[in-house]
Amino acid sequence: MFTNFGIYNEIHTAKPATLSVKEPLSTNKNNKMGSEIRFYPRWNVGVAAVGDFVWLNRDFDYVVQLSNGEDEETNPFEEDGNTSKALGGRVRGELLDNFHLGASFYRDHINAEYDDGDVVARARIASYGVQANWFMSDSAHVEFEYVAGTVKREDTEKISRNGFTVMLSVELTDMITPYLRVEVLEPDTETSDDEGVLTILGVNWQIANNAYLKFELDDMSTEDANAKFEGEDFQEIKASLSIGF
Amino acid sequence: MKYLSLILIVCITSFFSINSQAEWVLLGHTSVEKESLDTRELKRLFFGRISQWDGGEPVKLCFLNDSNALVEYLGESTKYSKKRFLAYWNSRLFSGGNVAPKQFRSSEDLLDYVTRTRGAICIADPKAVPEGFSGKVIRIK
Repeated sequence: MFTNFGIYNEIHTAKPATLSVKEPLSTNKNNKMGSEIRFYPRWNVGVAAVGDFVWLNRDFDYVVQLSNGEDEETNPFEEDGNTSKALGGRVRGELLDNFHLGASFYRDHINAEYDDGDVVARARIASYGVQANWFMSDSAHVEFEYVAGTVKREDTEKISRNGFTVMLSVELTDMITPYLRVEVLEPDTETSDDEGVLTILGVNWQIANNAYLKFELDDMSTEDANAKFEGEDFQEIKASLSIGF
Repeated sequence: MKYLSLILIVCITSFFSINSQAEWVLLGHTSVEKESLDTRELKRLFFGRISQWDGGEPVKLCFLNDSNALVEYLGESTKYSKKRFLAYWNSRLFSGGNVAPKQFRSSEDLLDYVTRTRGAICIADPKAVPEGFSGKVIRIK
């Protein structure tokens, strides 16, 4: 099952449901932007309790997941490499008709490094997130996601990290929705020059019912100590066709 | 670049406002026990928060795809555009949340569905509802 964390990590394979070509890297795939280990794994194997409830006349939903967790070498979907279990959860609520808020967490104790099949280092991962959706009007929407957490390997100092993403989209017509997204990742708060910033300007064009063309200009800017890009800035143009059926 | 983009987002957000106008009607199958619904109940129904009627019958939602009825309902009672509403249901569908509302291309098909399907409740164009409609017109409080 998907690890229910934040806005995207339950629909990221369903591209017709998302405005942009890809979900935000800084909060969803932070290992592709300079972190060694993700804030949380994309999928996990385990059990979950899900439900919804009404509180103060407002709708809320929740999920709590207990799973085998992540492993750096073995396939955690076939073999559970350690006895530790991961615990995660999320609660979302419609605080106002046009303002929805959510919070997530994920904790795990993984085998972080192997040598000849033997575990040489384990690591504790703890991640916490908040998310907000603000519908300013029937055409303008802002979404925001912030994730912070720590990684503590047995053989190194604890690393604190955080990332956020904010996106504004405006439906110009029934078919055309441009968007602007800024993603920022701080892979290690103790390292001053490892930050990554991704700025995306894109347009989502609904060409038919459940069919979307997406075009983006992505600008990646990182500092010299960023483990992934080492200060090599670049731009790329992305396009995708998403069809739901 | 980061701060410039953030400032741009903040500036653009100040230029939008809501507009709304009502031109829609709520139809139900005769098995639906409700004679009237308030706007909050209706929103909870059409956003999948209520999936069963009081008697246990599953709620079956529908709307007319090519009319403005859904757009005007959403504009009046929610901050959702039709595109955003469908994206919301795509998200629910792909995350296993619920079955999305049924969409019809013609008023005849919608009226046929709502009169024949137990638990059905549909947003329709009031001009399309004939004299002697055999389903139920549900009042909005």
